[in-house]
Amino acid sequence: MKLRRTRLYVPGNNPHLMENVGLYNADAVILDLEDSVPVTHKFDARILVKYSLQNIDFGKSEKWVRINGITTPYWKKDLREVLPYCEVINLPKVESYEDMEMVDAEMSIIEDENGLERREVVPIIETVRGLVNAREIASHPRVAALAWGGEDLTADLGIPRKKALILDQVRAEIVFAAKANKKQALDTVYSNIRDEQGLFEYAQRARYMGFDGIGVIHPNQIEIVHQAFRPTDDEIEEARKIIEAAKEAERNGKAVISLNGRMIDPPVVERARKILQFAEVE
Amino acid sequence: MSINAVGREVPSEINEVKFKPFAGDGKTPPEGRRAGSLIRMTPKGRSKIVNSLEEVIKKVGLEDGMTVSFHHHLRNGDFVVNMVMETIRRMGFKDIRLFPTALFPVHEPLALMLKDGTIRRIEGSMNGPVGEAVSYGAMRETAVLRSHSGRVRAVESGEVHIDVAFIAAPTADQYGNLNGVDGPSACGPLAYGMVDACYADHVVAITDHLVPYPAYPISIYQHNVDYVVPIDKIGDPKGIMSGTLRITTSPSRLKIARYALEVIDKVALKPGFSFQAGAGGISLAVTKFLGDLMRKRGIKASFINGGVTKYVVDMLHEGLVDVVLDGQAFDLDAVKSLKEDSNHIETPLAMYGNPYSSGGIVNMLDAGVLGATEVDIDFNVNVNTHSDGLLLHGIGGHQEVAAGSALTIITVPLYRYRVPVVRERVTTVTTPGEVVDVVVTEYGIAINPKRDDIVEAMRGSKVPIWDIQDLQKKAYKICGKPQEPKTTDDIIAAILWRDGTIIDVVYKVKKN
Amino acid sequence: MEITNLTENLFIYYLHTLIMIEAGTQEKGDALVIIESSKQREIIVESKIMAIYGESIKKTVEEETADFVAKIIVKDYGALDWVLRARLEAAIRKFTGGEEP
Repeated sequence: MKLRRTRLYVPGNNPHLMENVGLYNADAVILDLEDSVPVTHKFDARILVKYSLQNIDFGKSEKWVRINGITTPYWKKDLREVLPYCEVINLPKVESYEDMEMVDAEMSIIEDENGLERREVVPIIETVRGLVNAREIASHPRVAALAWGGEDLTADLGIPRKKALILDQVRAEIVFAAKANKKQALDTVYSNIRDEQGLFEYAQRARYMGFDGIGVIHPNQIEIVHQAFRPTDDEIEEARKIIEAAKEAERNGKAVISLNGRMIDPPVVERARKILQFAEVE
Repeated sequence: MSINAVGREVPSEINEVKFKPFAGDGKTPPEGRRAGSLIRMTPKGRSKIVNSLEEVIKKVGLEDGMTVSFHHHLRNGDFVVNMVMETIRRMGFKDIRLFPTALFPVHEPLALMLKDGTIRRIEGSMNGPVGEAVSYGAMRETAVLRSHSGRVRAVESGEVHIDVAFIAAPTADQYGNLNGVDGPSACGPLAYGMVDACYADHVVAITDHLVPYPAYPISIYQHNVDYVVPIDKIGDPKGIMSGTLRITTSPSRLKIARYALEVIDKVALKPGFSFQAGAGGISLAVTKFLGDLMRKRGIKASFINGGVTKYVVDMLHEGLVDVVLDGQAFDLDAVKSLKEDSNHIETPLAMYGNPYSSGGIVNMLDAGVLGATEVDIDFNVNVNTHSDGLLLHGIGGHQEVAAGSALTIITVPLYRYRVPVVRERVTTVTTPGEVVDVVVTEYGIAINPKRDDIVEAMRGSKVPIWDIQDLQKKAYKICGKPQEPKTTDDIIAAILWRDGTIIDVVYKVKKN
Repeated sequence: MEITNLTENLFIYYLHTLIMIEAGTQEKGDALVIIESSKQREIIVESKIMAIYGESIKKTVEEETADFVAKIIVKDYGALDWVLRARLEAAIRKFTGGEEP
């Protein structure tokens, strides 16, 4: 599975902020056509994003575009312009499996017309209805990972975002929905770009809640989040041993993996693999 | 005309004075004896206080064609240069040679005095509008640009003789002892004015803060100062002090600073090391990060040469550095520290990096981090002109830090708003590639191939290492190949290497 | 009543004959492209980096707007070539196709 510890949001109508975006080693870069672009600039941004996808060096980062939601008049036009040139569509305000079906159908048409490989979708759960349907949404074959957004969701619940006491339950639900479908779970952004310690703690907390990454809104956040997602030396050491034991078992044609006399179940091996991947170790 | 050691065609005469072509750093030995000022006498009992600029200009016997000098410690807040020059103009003097340590955008009114004949030429750094006017041919004679230390050398050797030095003094007593650490226009050291005070035929202090005799501390001593002119205001504190400088938040600039830090760490960082600090956004970030790294490693520096800012003062107070050597202060924290801390020392500019001396501070530097407007594939650096050919900046201390420091790092973005900074050929050579070791960009670094030791030290580092030519190609790939600027054959300025040889010339620019 | 109709008609006439659209912004690193209907082809380029990229900018504008009869004003603020092309495409499509956002 691809590392998606960080996904960097970049406003879709600001070329200067896009130019160097490949330099910062974010796991993914999201060119945003939704909230960061005012209605009067939707068209200009869509064209600009189409060009930037083709002209910018994205380095190691996966190319994502956040298109406008399916209740807007823009989303189909967005797809038409950008789908051929991006790898993942970030889809806001998804509420149901049917929403995914609708977008899937539109994407398939464009992919067939242009002879493209299938693009993945990362839906963003931003409403109570979406949250309730999250497990179904995550089960859609297009879905690579599940993300969520707090602003609209708390508004939908009628509580102030800063005082909301329910967000950890929301997070848990997102993680369960994603993991039950073997998909990644992605936490939302940490918006205070000056608080490095706060960001580190936030990201580490997301990791221990079961998330595979968080959103970032400034390149200076990326390195800190990667550090937070880096497993501890003990975790790495343990994982190495488990993988070694698994290889040993495979070499000897044994069905049961054991380490220090203890039996190792397949999910534990899987977790060990993931830890090493997060540690960026082969 | 001849071709010099960096391959530039340079004239043998500027303003009918002979100059040698640049032959390489340290390749042109000094000659002769130091020059001197007029021996003069202030009789016992005579007051030095003069109540107007007009009167003092009469007293010193200014004549058409003479050379007047100024220092630039008041930077863009300076009132003195414009005030004195306006008085000179009003009194009807012509053909003055203006010899400032540097000019700033606030000095734009001088452009008119180039036109009306008050000033025949400026020899000194021109930052902004005056430089632009000169680029389009506003000056009758040719400008001569020198580095800070090159200017000291020119004065000491007699290449430039100063008739009258006008010294803006944030604090003065009635008998001419001056400092820059007190008063409403405090600027810190008076380092740039010290040479002028020693070598000018007449020295006039201009102050807005007259204190009882004797003023203390003393930066410029009474025996070199002939007159003291009290006025209302010598400057605007807002333009003199920058306020607390903030470290850049630009992610690409921070990336450059991190890469520069990595180079310093791998090549120069050791207990007792020393470095040159600056006030540019990237320099500031490097200083801050270096402080953090030293704290983490428990390493202490022997000295920082500044460009002093709050970040440097904090390191001094924390004990991360033993001594701060100060030629220029950028904020009030720096001024306060210079006044109060005995290990924060004001250094005369003659001590900075004059090659024709018994050794400058720069010779003791382990690392220096410098900026540039352009760098080329021969590691030559331009800090004077923009890529359109306009002369917009002075040399500052760039040449001497590059020449002196054991490790010279140039920090630049690969391009700025489409204009490539790493180029095939710099528009103007200010500092030759032979004294530049590493170019650091947000895309990675390029190491001067003659520095095998640095190549070796950087092995295994995570910083991307490029061939400088590939870095240039990358810039052109992103930006497109730049056009050559449209210049004429008229030379409007000569750029001198710190030893007084001509390293390059600047041509008049055609208006579009 | 008549007067109102006349004004409305004039306004509609005005809309159909004199169109002006713009694409892009005046931020650094961007370009603003303005297209005005005109009987003649006319190209005006303004940039602080004319001395360095003036020829390249003009060439791109020519390529992207070839044979297009209108007054095309490009205000460049240090845009990379692809940015300029994106802004030109957006401007032309809005001008010709009446593209809505």
